[in-house]
Formats: sequence, C-alpha cells, structure tokens
Amino acid sequence: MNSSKFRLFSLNPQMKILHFSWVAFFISFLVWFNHAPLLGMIAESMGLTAEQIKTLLILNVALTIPARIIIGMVTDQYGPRKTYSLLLFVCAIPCFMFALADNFEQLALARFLLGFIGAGFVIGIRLVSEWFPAHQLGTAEGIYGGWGNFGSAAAAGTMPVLALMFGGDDGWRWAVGVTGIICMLYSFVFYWGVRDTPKGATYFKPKSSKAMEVTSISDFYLLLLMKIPLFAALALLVWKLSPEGVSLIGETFSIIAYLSLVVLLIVEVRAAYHVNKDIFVKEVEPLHRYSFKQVAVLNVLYFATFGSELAVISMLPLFFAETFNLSMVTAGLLASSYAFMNLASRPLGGWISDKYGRKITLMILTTGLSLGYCVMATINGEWPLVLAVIAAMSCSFFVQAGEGAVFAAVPLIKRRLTGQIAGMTGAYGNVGAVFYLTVLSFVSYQDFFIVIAISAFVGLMMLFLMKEPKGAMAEIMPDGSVELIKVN
Amino acid sequence: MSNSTTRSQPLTITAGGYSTAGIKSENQDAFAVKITKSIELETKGHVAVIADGVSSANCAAQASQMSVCHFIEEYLATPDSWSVSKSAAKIIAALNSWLYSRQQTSAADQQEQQWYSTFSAIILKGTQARIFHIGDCQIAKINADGYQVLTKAHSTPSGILNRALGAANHVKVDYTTTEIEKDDLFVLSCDGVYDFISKKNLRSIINASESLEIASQSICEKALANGSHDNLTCLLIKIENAPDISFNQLVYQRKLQVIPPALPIGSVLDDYEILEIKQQTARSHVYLAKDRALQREVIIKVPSLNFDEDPQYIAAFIKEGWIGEKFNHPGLMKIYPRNPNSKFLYHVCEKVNGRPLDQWMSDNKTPAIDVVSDILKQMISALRTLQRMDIIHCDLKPDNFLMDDAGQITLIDYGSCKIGCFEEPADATPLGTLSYSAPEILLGGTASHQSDLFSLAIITYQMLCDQLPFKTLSTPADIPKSFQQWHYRPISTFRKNIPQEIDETLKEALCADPSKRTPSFSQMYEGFKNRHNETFNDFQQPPLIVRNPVLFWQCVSGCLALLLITSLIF
Repeated sequence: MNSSKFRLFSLNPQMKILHFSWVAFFISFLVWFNHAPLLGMIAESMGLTAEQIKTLLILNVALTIPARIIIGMVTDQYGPRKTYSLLLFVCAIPCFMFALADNFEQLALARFLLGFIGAGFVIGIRLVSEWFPAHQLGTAEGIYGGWGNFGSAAAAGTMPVLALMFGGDDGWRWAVGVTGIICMLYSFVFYWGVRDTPKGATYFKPKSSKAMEVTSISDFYLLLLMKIPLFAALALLVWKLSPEGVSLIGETFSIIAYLSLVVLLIVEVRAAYHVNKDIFVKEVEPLHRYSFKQVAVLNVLYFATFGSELAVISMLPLFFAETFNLSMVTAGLLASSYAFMNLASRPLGGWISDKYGRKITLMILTTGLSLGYCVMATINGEWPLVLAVIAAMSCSFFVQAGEGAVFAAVPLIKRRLTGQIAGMTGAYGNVGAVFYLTVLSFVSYQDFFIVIAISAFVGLMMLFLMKEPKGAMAEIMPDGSVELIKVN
Repeated sequence: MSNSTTRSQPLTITAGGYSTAGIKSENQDAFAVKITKSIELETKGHVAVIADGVSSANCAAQASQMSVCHFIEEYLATPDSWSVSKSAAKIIAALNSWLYSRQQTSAADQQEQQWYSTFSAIILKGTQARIFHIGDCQIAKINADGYQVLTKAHSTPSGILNRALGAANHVKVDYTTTEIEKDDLFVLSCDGVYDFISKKNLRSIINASESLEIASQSICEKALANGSHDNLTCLLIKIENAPDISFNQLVYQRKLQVIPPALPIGSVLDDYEILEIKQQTARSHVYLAKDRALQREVIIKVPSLNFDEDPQYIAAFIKEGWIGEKFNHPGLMKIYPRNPNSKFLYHVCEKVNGRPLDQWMSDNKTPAIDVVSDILKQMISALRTLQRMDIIHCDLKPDNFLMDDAGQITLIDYGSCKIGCFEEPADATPLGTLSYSAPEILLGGTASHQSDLFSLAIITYQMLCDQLPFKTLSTPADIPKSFQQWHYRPISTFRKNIPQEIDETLKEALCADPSKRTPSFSQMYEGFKNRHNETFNDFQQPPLIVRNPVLFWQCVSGCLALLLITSLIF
C-alpha cells in the first residue's frame, strides 16, 4: 500500500483482494451463462421448442433484480467474505440441478434460481471499495467488473468444447456440472483467502441505507417513476410465465406473484418516503442538492449497455449457430469474441471518460453502440463470417466501454450516495436484460438488435439532459502545486 | 459539510439584571453573566451565576461576591477539552473548600468568620442549559409552556436554609439540564424576589418592558412594593438564537476547506513538499513531507475523498487536529498548529519514527514480560494525559501505536476521540475497531475511561501471546448480544510461562461488564509492576496439539490421507 501507482501484478494485500474478487465474479459469470453456448445441444437432447429456450434465457436474468437488494442487505450484515462464499456455494446447487434436470420445468426452475448468482456483482464492488483508496477505486472496479464479465466469454469459448470432450447426449450436463464444481470449490478458496477489510479497519458503520435519498420534491417523484421499470420487468416476467405466455405457472400463482409485486412496490415507496420526508417540510440547501435526473440518465444508459450485453451473450451462440449453420463449438467460440472485449474495453471506457470528460465520452460511445447494433441487425447468412465477428466485437467495444464510462460517472453524481446510485444503476442493467430477452421471445434476431439500437438512441437523447458531473474540487498543477479548481 | 453546520447559527443570548439592598442596609447578593464567543462558546458556553450571601453569616457579602466572580473566572480557565459538568464540579468543590477554610483559619484568631452563600449557576451551551444549584435562589424557564421552576430550595418548611456554599467541608450540588430553544427566557432570582411576586405578575412585567434590564429592575421594585424584606436580585436571560443541533464552531470554521486530491511524490500542498507516500487507504492518505518554511520533515494526514460528505467523519477529523495541537507528551504525537489561511483540509503532524506495534508484535511473538510491562507503562502514561484532559480515545489498537528503536511508544491517531467538551449526539454511530472495542460500546452504551482500559488490556494480552482474548469480531453481526457472551480465554491457553497473577490482572481488566472491570489504569498496572525485574528465559513453546488442536489434527489427517494415496498408487 506504500505506492501511489496501481501495480496490478504486485502481490500486496490490496491486489490480492482484487484478484480474488474478479475471479469470484468471473466464476459467477461462467456459471450464470454456462447454458448460453450449449442451448443447441440442450434443446436437441431435451426436445425443447424455440419458445422454451427463449424463456430459459429470460428466467436466467430475472431473479437477479430482487436478489441484488437481498444480497446488499446480507452483505451489510455479514460482510462480503461470508456472503460471496455462501453465494458461490449455494448457487452451485441450482447449477447441478440444471445439469441433472430431465424436463423443461426443472430446467426452468434451476435457471430461475441461478439468477441469484448475478447479484454477486454487488458484493465484489463493496469489497473492492473497502480496500482501495478513492482515486484508484475507478480503475480497480473497472478491472473487477470487466475481467469478471469476461467469464461469459470463457463460458462461450470452453463450454461447447468441454461438452464435446465428455461426448454424447449428456455431454452438456457434464460441462455444466464442472462449472458447478468449480463454483463450489472456489467458494472455499474465497473464504480462506479474503479479508473483509484491511487489517485493523473493521468499523461499525454500515455502508448502505434503506432507500435512495433525493434532494427535491420533483426528484422524489422522478425516483418513484424510476422505480416502476424495476417492478414492471418482474411483472413482465410473471406475465410471460403465466397461462397467457408459456404457461409455466398457474393462474392462481401468477395472481399471487402480481399481488406480491404490488405489495413490494408499496413497501419500497413507503421506505423512500420515510427516508426523504424531510424534503417536504424544508428545502435542502443548494450546496447539498443533486439532480436525480443525472441518476436517471445513467440508469437508462446502463439499461442499454449492460442490459444488452447480458441479453446478447445469452443468445449470440445460438444466433451464430443458426445464421451460419455452425457447430455449437465454433458458434460458441465466435460468440465469445463479444464478451472477450471486456478485458480491455470496460476499464478503458472508465479511463477515457475520466480523461476526456464524461458526457462527451458517453455520447460518442452511445452513438457507437446504437450504430453497432444497427449493423448487427443486418447480419445474415450471406455475410462473410469474419465480418460478422468483427461487427460483434466492435459493437461490444462500445457497449462495454459505455458500461465503464457509466460507472466512472456514478461516484461524481453525489459521493455520499455512490453505493445507492451504483446499486440502482446496476439493477437497471438487469432490467434491460429481462426486457431485451422478452422482446427476443416475440421477434426475430434482426428486430431484437433494432430494438436495442433504438433504446440506445433514446439513451443518447437523454444524455443531452445530463450535465457534465463535476469532478474533484482541487487539482495538481503542472508545477506540482495543489490548487482549487475555479468554479464558474 | 453538513446541513446542520451551514444552516445553524451559534447560540446567542441577551441578558439584563438588577440587584438592590431593598430595606436592608447591605446588599449581600451578587450576580454576573459572561457572554462568550467563537471557540470559547463552543467549549465552555455562556455562564450566568446568582449568589445570595446567607444573612446570618458575618461575611455573607464577600462570600457571594467571591463565589460569583471566582466561579466564572475559573470555569473559563479550565482545560478546553473538559466537559461542562466536570469543569463546574471541580470549581464548585474548590470554591467550597476555600470558603470553608476561611472559617477554620479565622477561628484560630478567635474571631470566627462565616463565608456562607447560596449559589445557582446556569451554563448555556449547544442545545442545553446546565444548572448547578445550592441553596434557595431560583432558576426558572419561561416558554410557551409557562413558568417552570427548575431548582428546588434547600431549606426547611419554615424557610431556614440547610445547604450553602462554605458551610461544610463537602457540599452537595444539584445538577439538572434542560433543552433550550429560541425565545426561551431564564429567570434567576433570589428569595427576596420570587417569594414576593406572582408568576403572572412577573411575566406581564417582562412582556411590558422594553429591555431585560428595565424588566429586571421593575420586577425587583414590584417585589419590594409587595413587602419584600430581603435583598432583591433578578437576572433575566433571553435565548435570541438557538442552534438546531449542537453547533460546532470548530467544524464551521473549517467547513469551507477542501479535501486535497491524492498527492503524487513531488507535489506541493501549501508549503509542504510530498516526499513519500506512507499509506493510502479507503479512509485516509498519509504522506511524509518537507516543511519548506521550517526545513523539517513532517507527516501530512489527509482524509479520504470518500468522506467528502460525511459530516461525522469530517467533524471527527477536525477535532483530531484541534486536540492534537494541545498535546505535549512524548507518548502522544503532536499535531502542529494549522495554517488558518489554507484552502485545504489536512493535518501536519510531528514525524514520529518507528514501526507500528502490530508489526513489532509479529516480529516478537513471545516478548519478555518486563518488555511488555515497560510498553504498558508508557501507554498508561499517555492515556493518563488523555484522561486528565477528559478525553476518551475509543480506538486503541496496535496499529495506532508506533514504537521506535529505543522502545519509545507513541500514540498516533486521535480520529475517534470523545472529547468531554463536545457533547456527541446520543445516536451517533460509535467509532473504533470491532475487535478492540469495549463491550459496552459495542452494545450501544456510553464509553468511559474504562473502555480505553479494556482496549489497552486486549493489546497487552496480544503482546504477551500473539492472540486475542476473545474471538475476533469481523462484522457487526459477530457482536455478542450480552456481557455474558464474552468468554475470556486464559492466557495460558496460548503461552504457558505467564505468571498466574498477570493472567488474573488481565482477566479483571477484560471483564465485559464495566462495573466489574478494573477501575483504573494504575490498578491494572499493579499486576505488572511487581514483575518488572523478572525475565523469562525458561520459555518453552507448548506442543502444537495444545496451541492449536485443530491444526494438529488437520496435519495428522493430511499425513494419513497422503499415506493412503501413496499406498493406493503402489
């Protein structure tokens, strides 16, 4: 800790924690998306319809939305080390369930429960923030997020190979089972290797609070408005599963689900009111105000970036296989090129935005990803394969750099609320995934990409509402002296 | 930094009083008000005193005069860090002794002097009024709820005073507190006034008067007209402005200072050139720097940007600087006076050489007892200084102590200190480190010097045997729910050759219930003092099965498993 430099490969305790964390998240992603490149084989061996496959894809990302809240509370209480170890251990069980399933219902339940592992993101973010000083946190979290997301590329690249190695109809079962074993084993490694806080810094103060704070009455209503999509996504899922959709759950059960969503929404609104009731009595001082609009814009952008990434990595192997008539192994490998970019582009997005300004970076990246998805929409069987892969990779660069840039802007909105803003933004990523995958279940691949492109364009329009968040109050001049930044 | 400090105004008051002999020949009453400003208001508050010399005593007038003047003067001269009650209690006790001693010394030359006086003081600080009361003067508060008498006369039903300052060797003082709000009015009056004027009458006079000065005079005149046969004194204090929460002048003064960014080597903050980065964490940044003006090396401590908007942390940081400037003890790191014109928030600290005690501990797993005893003695010396200044450290742990090559121990962090003069809000999140904090703090009780003693005992235990006496607490969920659940592990569990007495001393100092814990540092040190010249050369490491049975069996099973595997292969 004695250096100002960010030494990624040094073995000091900080970096050790970073490595433990991104590997944990990497494995979470590996397990979370271990089905995507195998969908062809699974469909074949279990005799699933296209609709059923798409349902599995949605189910996989659904539970993550509420799970984030639960995991956040558990982390507050028991610390990141115990929570992440437990999460990895427990989530190995639905993974085995999936491997051993012998009908669609069992597959569906296993996939639904596996949504929990996606919430691991929250835990790692907390852990890294305990260990890194503020000025290195952006880089550290970029590496954590980016390298962790790379787990889906690893899944896409290795799962089909593994399945073929085991061979036969049940090859995919073995491959999925292996990821479950890795997950379970790593839960112990993580437990033994990680400390919640640097030595001597176990303090009392919990980091998160019950609900998001806002600083004006209009922002309070905007907050309520922004809560609706979180519930709408879950309602959409219930509808999809109900007799009107794929009929996976019964009429009564879906009504219960709708009702509990309403109850949850009421609870959330009450909590939000409870935390913010002071703003109705007296105005918050200008110095302490922040604009919730900024948060809303970042939420929408993350919806388009991370949401689309989750959706695309779920369907891309299948898309490649079907469009180009490829084997699952080749399709998986090619599809992994999309998530492969994560290694560099997510941290890079954060870096560029710190250097050249958040708003302009986000604008360029969002434009890029909107165009990128338009290009993806035009891919068809006549395209040379290389070109399709290049299109996927360049599109994914904009997507992931955009994710990095969104998260680089998060701490600048209102530093005190960073944890909550990050939590809400992250949840929007999952909402995006549910939304896009539900869209996919109705439309063709081409229209699916077009929908993403349109939503990114909406994000771009909303960006014009965003104000460049101000960074630090002080800076270091070229001659080495520290000066205040003039505020105009 | 916080809503409260920017919106809040300091506590301001206006006062007016009047005193007259009435129909008597001599005025034996006395009163005084001291309105304080800025940091003195912050640490000490506004003070008002009324005293009524006991007319049966022959030096009554001198006694009341003396009490009033001496109290205010001495109260304001107590150390800045002391709490109101500690300061007032000390002064009143000293005052009483002095008045009482007049009687004793004068008795020697046959002419007994009686310096008796009643005494009622009100100290207005933050959001509270504190009242110290002996005798039969009266302090009352008038607000929307009406006229409320806050003191009780110490007299028999027939009106004979039975408690006064200077009448006995020890005096019992009534101490009460009351909340203050804007427009509250405090009335301090002697029995010559309040017995002869109705509350209603008094309030209508105040409401009709232009100023408090005029009101107090009219009240006395009215009481006199109503037949008062005593001296008449009335003092009125009006709260013009009360802070929302305890207004913090210190924090207010520095709130416009900005937290500097992470500083690379070679950058220059004000007049300090950064030479080396000592530590960067999510909580603070510590640098070695060169003071260009004074040509010396100093340590610069900067809070993390993470706390930019955490008023509690920033306030604690500012208080740390304030208190660190006052230390002058080899065992306490000095913080140099801050540059009042700096635009940045940071501390410039004395450069203390040495390594953190936890590092020393990992290098010396089984130190001789006299070495530990010497370290303990130095720590206690530093902690006594804190205790005298009415400061509870609240975060004693090995990495907050540095030890240099000569064995000198220095405490280097005051960020969690509870300083007597700054009353913390009752619901403030406790600071400190879980594994080293005293159970009463963890269970939400109040910290005392015994809490520091507990932490000190943990450190001592750890120095002796490299283990903690209780199981490690890593998250708030690990905190036991009651005192009974802290199970002390005898030190002999980990190191065999520690004398029984030391184990007992530590066990008593580590009692979870503070009421059963060793009361003072000196008592704790007793257990070690006698051991000072003993050295322990006969140290034998206990076998692994005793030190760590789990590891032992793990090793055994590991070996067996290995053997099994080998036998399977061959």
